[in-house]
Amino acid sequence: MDTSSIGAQGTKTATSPSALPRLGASTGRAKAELSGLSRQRIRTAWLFLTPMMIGLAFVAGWPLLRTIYLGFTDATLSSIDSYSFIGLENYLVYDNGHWYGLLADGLWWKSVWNTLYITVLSVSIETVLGVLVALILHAKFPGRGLVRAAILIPWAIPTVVSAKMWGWMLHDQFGVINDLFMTLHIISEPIAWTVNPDTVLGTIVAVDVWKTTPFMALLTLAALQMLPKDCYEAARVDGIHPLKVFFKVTLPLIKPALVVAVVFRMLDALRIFDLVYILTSNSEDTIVMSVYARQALIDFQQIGYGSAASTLLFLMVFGLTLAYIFATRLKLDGSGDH
Amino acid sequence: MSSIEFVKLDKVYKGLNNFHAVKGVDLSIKDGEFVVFVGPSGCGKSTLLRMIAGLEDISGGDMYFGSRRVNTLAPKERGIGMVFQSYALYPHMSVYDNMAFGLSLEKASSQNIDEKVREVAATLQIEHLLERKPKELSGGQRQRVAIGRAIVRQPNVFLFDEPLSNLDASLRVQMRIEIIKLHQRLKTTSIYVTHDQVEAMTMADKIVVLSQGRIMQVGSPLDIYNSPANTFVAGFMGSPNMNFIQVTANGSQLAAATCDVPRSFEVPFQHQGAATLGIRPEHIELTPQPGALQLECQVSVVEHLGNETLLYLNTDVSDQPLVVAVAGEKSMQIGEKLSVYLPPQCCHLFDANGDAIARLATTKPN
Repeated sequence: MDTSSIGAQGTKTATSPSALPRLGASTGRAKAELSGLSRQRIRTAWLFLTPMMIGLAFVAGWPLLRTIYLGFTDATLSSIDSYSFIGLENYLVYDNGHWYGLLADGLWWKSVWNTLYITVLSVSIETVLGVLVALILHAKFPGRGLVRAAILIPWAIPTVVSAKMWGWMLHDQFGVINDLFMTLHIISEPIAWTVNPDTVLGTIVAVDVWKTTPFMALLTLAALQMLPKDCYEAARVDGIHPLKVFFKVTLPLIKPALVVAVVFRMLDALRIFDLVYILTSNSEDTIVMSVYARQALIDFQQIGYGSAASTLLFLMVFGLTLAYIFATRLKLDGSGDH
Repeated sequence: MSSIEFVKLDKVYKGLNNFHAVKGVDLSIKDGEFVVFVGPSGCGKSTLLRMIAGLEDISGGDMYFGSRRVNTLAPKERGIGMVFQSYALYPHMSVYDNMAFGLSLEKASSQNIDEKVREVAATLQIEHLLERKPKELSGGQRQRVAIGRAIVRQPNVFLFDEPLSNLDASLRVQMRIEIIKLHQRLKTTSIYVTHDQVEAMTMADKIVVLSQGRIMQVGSPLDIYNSPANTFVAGFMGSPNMNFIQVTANGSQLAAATCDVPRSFEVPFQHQGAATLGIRPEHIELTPQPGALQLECQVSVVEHLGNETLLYLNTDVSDQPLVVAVAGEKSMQIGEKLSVYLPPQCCHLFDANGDAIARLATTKPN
C-alpha cells in the first residue's frame, strides 16, 4: 500500500469534489502525527539521559580532557597556575644529542612490561581457576550455599586490607608463609617474597589471583546456571565423556560470559595500583604504569609529565580492550552469542 | 533390538516427603513393540521413562533388557536413543554436528559418520538444514533433528518423552504419522510418553495407562477403549469422557442410585450392591432401542464440532450432565426436553472400588 492510498483512506469521508489537494494535506498531517509521537519519545529519552551525561561530563569527561591537556604542558605542583604549552616534549624530545621524555625512559617501559606481565598472567590463571571453582560450586553437595558465600570473601575484602594482610603473611622474618614452607621443607631459608626481584612479580600475581578468582568464579557460575539442563541429559544418554562434554558443550556455551568477565578483569588489572603500591611501595622492580604516574605526579610533583604518563596508560587500556573486543568478536549490544 | 522387562520397579525420591513416584510396576515389552505410556501429569510416566534411560536411579525392583539386568548400567551402556520434549539440541552446534556428536566417540571413521548422518538426514528430509544452527529452525524441524540424533546411533530402544507437545496441532498430527512410519521401517522397540490420549490411541501397539505411580491397565488401544479395567482408565481414555452413573445392582438388574423413582433395566453383568454404570457419549442413542434404558433429559449446553454435535443433558440420575455425542449436525434448543436410550450391550459396570465387572455374554459393544 503506497502513501496515496493511505491518504485516500484518510479522506474517505470527505465529500468534496476537490479531493486532490485535501489528499495531500491529509498525508502531510499523518506524517506530522507520526513524527510528533517519535519526537515525544526522543524528547523523553533526552530527559532521562541528560542528568547522567552532565554528571559523566563533570566526573569523567572533564578530568580526562584536563589530564590529556596537562600532558602537553610543563605544569608542576608548585606552579600549578603558571605553565606553558610544550607540545610533545613530555612524551619524546631530542635535546643535546639525547632523547628525553616518557618514551625514552627505561623505567616507563619497565612499568609497561610489568603491567602487561601481571595482567596476562593474573587474568589467565584466575580465569582457569575461576571456571574450576565455578564447576565445583555448580555441583550439588551438602553445604553448597555456605561454600558459595565463603568463596566470595577474598573479593569482598578491600584490596588495601588484603594487601596489608598478605604483606604480613609474606614477611621474610615473621610471615606465616615462610614458616609454613620451612616446616614443610619446601624452602631451606626464609625468602623475602616482596623484595626479592626473582619472586616479587610472581607474588603480586599470586595475591591478585587469590583476590579476583571469586569474581571469575561468580560470573562463570551465573553462566553455568543458565545452561540448558536437557543437553547434558542428552549427552549422558549418548554416552559422551564428561571431559568432552565440558570442552565441546559447556565451554562454548559459557564463552560469551567468560569473554565479558575477562574484559572486566583486564580493565582492572591494567590499572592495578593498590596491591602493588602496598606490597612493594615504590620498588623499581615491580613498578606498574599507575605507580609510575603517581610517582611523577606526587613524589616528583611533575603534573605535566605525570599527566602524559596517565594519558599513555589510558590509551594503552583503551587500545588493548578494543583489540580484545575485536579479537573475540564480543558483541556489547547484547545481540546474542557469536 | 531388545525386549524390556520390569519386575516390581520402584522409584522413591529421597527428601522430606519421600515422594513415591513409581510403585511396584510390572511390565514386559516385546522386541520391536511401540509402547505408549499415558496418564495425567504426575502419574510417573516420565520418571519411568527416565529410569529406562538410566537418567534416574532405580530404588527397587529389577529392569531387564533382554536377559541383561540393567539396573546399575550407565545410560550409554544400555544402547538407547532418547528424544526430549524440549528437543535438547546443542544450541551452538550445527544440525550436522548435533547428529554427529554422539557418533564420534564410537571410533567410527569420519567418512562412516558422514554417510550415516546424511542417510538419516535424507530419511527425515532435513538434508537442506544440516549447516544451520538450532535457533534458525522451526519447532517441527528441531523435532526432526532431535529424532535424527537419536536414530543415527542405531539404538536398541527408542525413548520419546512427550516429543510432540511443543508443536502446533497440525504439525503434531504430521509428525505423529512420520514417527509411526519410521517405527514401521526401523522396527526398533520404542517407548513413547504422552499425556495426549489421541497420540496414545493412534500410535501404540500397546498402551500402558498410569496413575499415581501405578499401572492402571495394559492393552491394545481398542482393548483399552472397549474394556477399560477401571473407572480411571474409562474416564481418562476417550473424548469426550465416559459418562458415569451411580447405580445399585441386584443381579443383572440396575437401578439408578440418586433417582427418586427407581427404574431398573437389565445389563449383561452380575453384581450385588452399589456400582457405577459407565457409557461413552458416542454410544448413547436418541432413538428407542430394544432393552435400552430410557432417560428423560433437558438440554443444557450444545457444542457444534461440525462432524459431530455434543449435547450436555441434565438428568435425574446424576448430578453431572450426561454427555451425548451425535454424528453430524443436530439443531437443539437450550432447555429442550428429549429422551435418550442407553443400550445395555454398550454399558460398562464398575464395582464400588472402581474395578470393572466382567461382562457375562459374549456380546461386544459395537
